[in-house]
Amino acid sequence: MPEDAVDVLIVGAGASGAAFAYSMADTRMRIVCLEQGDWMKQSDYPSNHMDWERRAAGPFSHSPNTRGRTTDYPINEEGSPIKVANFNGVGGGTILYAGHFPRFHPSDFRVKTLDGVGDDWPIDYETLAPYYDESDRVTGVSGLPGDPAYPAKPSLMPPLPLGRSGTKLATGFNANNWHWWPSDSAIATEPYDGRDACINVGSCLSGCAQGAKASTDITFWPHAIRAGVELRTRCRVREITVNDEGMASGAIYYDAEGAEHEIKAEVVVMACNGIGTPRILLNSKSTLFPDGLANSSGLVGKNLMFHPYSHIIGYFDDEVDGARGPNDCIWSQEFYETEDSRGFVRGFTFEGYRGPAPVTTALTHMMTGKVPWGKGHHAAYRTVVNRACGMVAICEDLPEEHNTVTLDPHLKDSNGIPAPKLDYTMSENSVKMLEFSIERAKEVLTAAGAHDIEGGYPIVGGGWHLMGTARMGTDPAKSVVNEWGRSHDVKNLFVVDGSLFVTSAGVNPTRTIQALALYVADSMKQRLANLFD
Amino acid sequence: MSDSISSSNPLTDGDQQTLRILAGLLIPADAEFGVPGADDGDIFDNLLALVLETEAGAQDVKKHLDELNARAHLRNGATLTALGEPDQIALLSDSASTEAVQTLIYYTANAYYQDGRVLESVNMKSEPPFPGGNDVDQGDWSLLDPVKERAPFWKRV
Repeated sequence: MPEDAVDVLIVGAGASGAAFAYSMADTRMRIVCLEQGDWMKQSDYPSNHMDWERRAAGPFSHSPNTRGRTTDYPINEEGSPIKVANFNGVGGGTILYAGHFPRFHPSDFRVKTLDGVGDDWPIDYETLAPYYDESDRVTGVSGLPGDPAYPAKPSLMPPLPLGRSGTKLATGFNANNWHWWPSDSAIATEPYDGRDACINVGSCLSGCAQGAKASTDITFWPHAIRAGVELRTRCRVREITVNDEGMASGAIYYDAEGAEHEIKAEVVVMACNGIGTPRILLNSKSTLFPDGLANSSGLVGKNLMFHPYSHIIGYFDDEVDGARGPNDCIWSQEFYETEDSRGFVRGFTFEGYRGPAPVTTALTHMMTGKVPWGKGHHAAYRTVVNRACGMVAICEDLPEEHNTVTLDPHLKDSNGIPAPKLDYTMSENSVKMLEFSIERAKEVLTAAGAHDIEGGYPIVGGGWHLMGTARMGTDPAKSVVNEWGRSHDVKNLFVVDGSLFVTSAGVNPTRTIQALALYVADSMKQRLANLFD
Repeated sequence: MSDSISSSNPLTDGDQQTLRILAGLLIPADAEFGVPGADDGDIFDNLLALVLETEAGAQDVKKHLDELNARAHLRNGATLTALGEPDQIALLSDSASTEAVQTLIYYTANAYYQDGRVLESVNMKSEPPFPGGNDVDQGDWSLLDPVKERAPFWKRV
């Protein structure tokens, strides 16, 4: 027996679902969000314990296949050199993200026009700018105005401290006359909206027990719930239902006990990330939609984009920050825009890394023999612990249709829903960019005084950014949703997560995901009278 | 000494003794740096707890301890615990690249570098990261001066 119908059903309570709910709440419509995971308790985060590194690698691992919580679903990623990093719970990936919070650049929306690759977005930076501003106000962003790599943007709180690591890296960039700037971060450096300031706990990537890092469970969701949005946890959606007219009519979901439910809705909004959204759409087959819902273009699940990352680290004779500070530090966009002489198109952002934690340092060096066991262990360990820092390069990933999310024919989750299967290869453009980034990073670290510099690619577990698999566009043959996030095929079905992305830019996507979700919500509110036309 | 094995702990007293010796060889005490070894009471108790946290993990470690004892028998005609330290170290050296030793390094390093005394010896706090946090210098912001002088270089569209 289906439940009473709601006006708006949101599937997923991560970055995009939270921002969308927050905006849509002022319509006073009956809005329900179904989230397969739980609310998180800050007291459960690893940093409350001495064995925080082991907990971060286990129950708070970024890999759902390693984490294996009851709220996770398995992913077949044997066909990808980059493995998915996600989190299933209220806040989604923002629970475990570092809080790097760059915006897109104006050029990121015009990649086809400027560089002849990918496609142009159907919107531009100026369209999204007010939604970036609104997202920033709710999130709380620290940084420094005046970055020459960006158009002017407001900065709400002072930047995170440079620390010893940031000072080393900045010295290296300056020696090369290359750009650097303190990172924009979704980390409060002052008390903000009832949240405390960062106290440099250093375990940002396994949840912020201080509440300074802006995960959407503590930013957008409290406001949305106060405004009347209902958020139901432990509700795993299997498929979106449709009526005889080809309109979305709601969803089938399982509760925590595995019981099946149906919820009716006038509008359905997908906010499950670039893996979860195509998974559900492809699993929503019907007579009217035999290839999955909203898939007349054949593009649902295609054009999967990660950001291939390189990683480079160097060692110093004096101490640096190590894990005694927030993950975010400084960034450089010296190599962001295309320059033909480099041999690849588009570019990347360097993001500084303060250094590894003690157990990680021990394991890395003992397993490779660089720090011996036995008598020489302690002296050798003290030459590496809190002595290493470096950077990663987040490289723009071009959309390619052969990079896909499909439904695995065999692997299923605990409710019997087919698992997603990834097939992804790094392009030649990505490889050239990654190799270039390593050589430039080595130059920075050498100039900073580092020795024993090491670099490599990709970060295997670095599939943090899941994009492109329900792309927006004006042509229904070349896109899944229109320029304001509505499905071309199903006029009451919307997508608000990273699946929307046409191109990936060379920056972390969360700030843009939240801005896009606010933009889609506002677009809907402006058209309520004829939303399905 | 008991060889009893409970259903929840597959490691015998003998296994635990072997494990303790190996932990102490992997990361020994060091007076110069003022640190205990991984065979120290509190650290080893933590190590054992980590090993026993899952049945699969405990069985895996037992398998590796058996392998190392089999090697000891082959080389020296005795169990590892019966060998003198030089022979124990030689056995460990010869086995360094094996999964057995790599697994023991994993547990030993995890237990050792969670210990407050050890962390203090490398200028870390002897408490969980939260709620104390850390002090991070602001650093030298004058390094930004040359960058501030650059003209905006984002690409206009």
